[in-house]
Amino acid sequence: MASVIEAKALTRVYRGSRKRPTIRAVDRVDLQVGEGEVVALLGPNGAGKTTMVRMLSCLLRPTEGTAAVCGQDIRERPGAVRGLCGVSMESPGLYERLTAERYLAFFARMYGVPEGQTADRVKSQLTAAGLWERRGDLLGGFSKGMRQKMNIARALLHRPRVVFLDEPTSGLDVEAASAVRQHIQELSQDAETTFLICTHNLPEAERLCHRIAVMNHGRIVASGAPEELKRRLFGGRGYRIRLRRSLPRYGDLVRALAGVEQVELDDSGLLVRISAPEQEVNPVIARRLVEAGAEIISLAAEGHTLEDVYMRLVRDDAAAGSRR
Amino acid sequence: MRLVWLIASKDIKEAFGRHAVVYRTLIPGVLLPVVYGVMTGLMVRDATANPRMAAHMASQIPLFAAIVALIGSFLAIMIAADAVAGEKERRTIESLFATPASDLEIFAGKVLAAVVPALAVGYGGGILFLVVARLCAGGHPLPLPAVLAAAKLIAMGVPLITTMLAALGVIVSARCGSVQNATQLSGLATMPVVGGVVYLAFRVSAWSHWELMVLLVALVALCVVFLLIGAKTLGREEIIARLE
Repeated sequence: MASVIEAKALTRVYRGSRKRPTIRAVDRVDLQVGEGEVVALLGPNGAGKTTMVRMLSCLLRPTEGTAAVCGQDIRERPGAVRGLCGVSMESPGLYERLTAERYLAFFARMYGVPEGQTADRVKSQLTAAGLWERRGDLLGGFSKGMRQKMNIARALLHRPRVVFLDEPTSGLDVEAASAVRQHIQELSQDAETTFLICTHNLPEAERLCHRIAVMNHGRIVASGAPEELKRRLFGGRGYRIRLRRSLPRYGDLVRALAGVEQVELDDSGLLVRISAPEQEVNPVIARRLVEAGAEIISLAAEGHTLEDVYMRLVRDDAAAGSRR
Repeated sequence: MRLVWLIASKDIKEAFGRHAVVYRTLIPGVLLPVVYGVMTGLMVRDATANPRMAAHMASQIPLFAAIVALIGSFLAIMIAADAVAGEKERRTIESLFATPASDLEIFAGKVLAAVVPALAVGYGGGILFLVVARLCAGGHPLPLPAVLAAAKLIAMGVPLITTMLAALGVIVSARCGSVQNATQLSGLATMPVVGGVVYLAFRVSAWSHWELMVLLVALVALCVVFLLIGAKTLGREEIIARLE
């Protein structure tokens, strides 16, 4: 997979003043994001996620290191990079005296959308955001959720190859957040748009993203697919299979299957840890157990959540930091 | 140039959506030309019978024209002070800076947004002043040399002074954290300009073409310097770095 974002030793230092200390917001970060990938940047407040996005979208210049977005160097061709990216930062403002339609039309023109396509693009984005009926209303009267939708619509308007979203569903009600997530999912399926999403919403990151990168103190402390990280930190993914009768031969049978890492037998059934994708291994386990005469009461994931992964990574990094 | 005009037209729409901008500029922009026009017209009537009045009036016409033209410049300062500081306050600056527009295009767009309405108010006010003065003169002609001096002052001085003040306003606005600070600082910068314009209004009718040419070149040079400094030092990066 070709890299759409490639950061090398990217560093940003905010110089201090009499009132503020010098802050190393991003510290020698290497990051590669492939075409069509959806990557989440997770991390506590002040971890450097927003600064990272601002550097990659050419809003801030790195102090050291470099990065390329779609092959364009962010230091040498910032204008070209900006044209290729869509950016929606956390709770940005809107031009309150413009109507929703005029606002999007303004940005469509700023991003060089051909004049003949502007109206269609604006309509499709407003429709996708569920705001077409409000197209003639001034943005000053929009609710927080509607504003957030307008921001995402603006970021996607010119069909950018890379989209940076900072807390895309923050402040949205459940229905609106779900609509935004669905929209991102639909766009990510065409494998042409790459997303880098900063979020504190871990279930959202797990649901939307192919890969997550956890940042702390300006550095990426771990990155990988959520399942991979869980496996790396806590071993393979676990499933609890409750059986009407728990027999040792069922354990032996499952242990012999490909993709099964570990099997524990107890009175209620089996605890199976797998190393291969669940959709490949679990149906085989269930079928073989049934064929062997086992009566399965339930099969449920019993593993660690992304929150466990996140907490472990941040805690370990804090402990390592205090040792450093 | 397309992006410059886009930014400018967006800013003009935004500015004129604010009641304060409309009230503080359009009301004096209409009121002052009418009041000064009436005064000038009445003086023209009296001047036919009073030679001292005629001399006084010759100096007053360019002065009134200058004051009318300055209203446009105040509008420019008001819009320019809001240009960047206002976008920072309303948190819209990041979306604008994330577009492919260059620093020069953003700066020029902001300056143009301040200059266009100021020119409209300045020229409109000048024309209104002369029309009202002519109407109130009751058939007596306005003194041609004084009218020509006023026309020169408005035609050449207004765009240059307005552009200079607008550029200065945007430079100040980019460095201030709030619109209030930017307006106060830009307002201070206008003081010497007001003094200069009033001085010119008294002297301009006595100047030769060469002297006028030198003044014009100096004003153009100042405008170019301000525009270049502004575009170079817009500080897109510093502005984003200072956002909380």
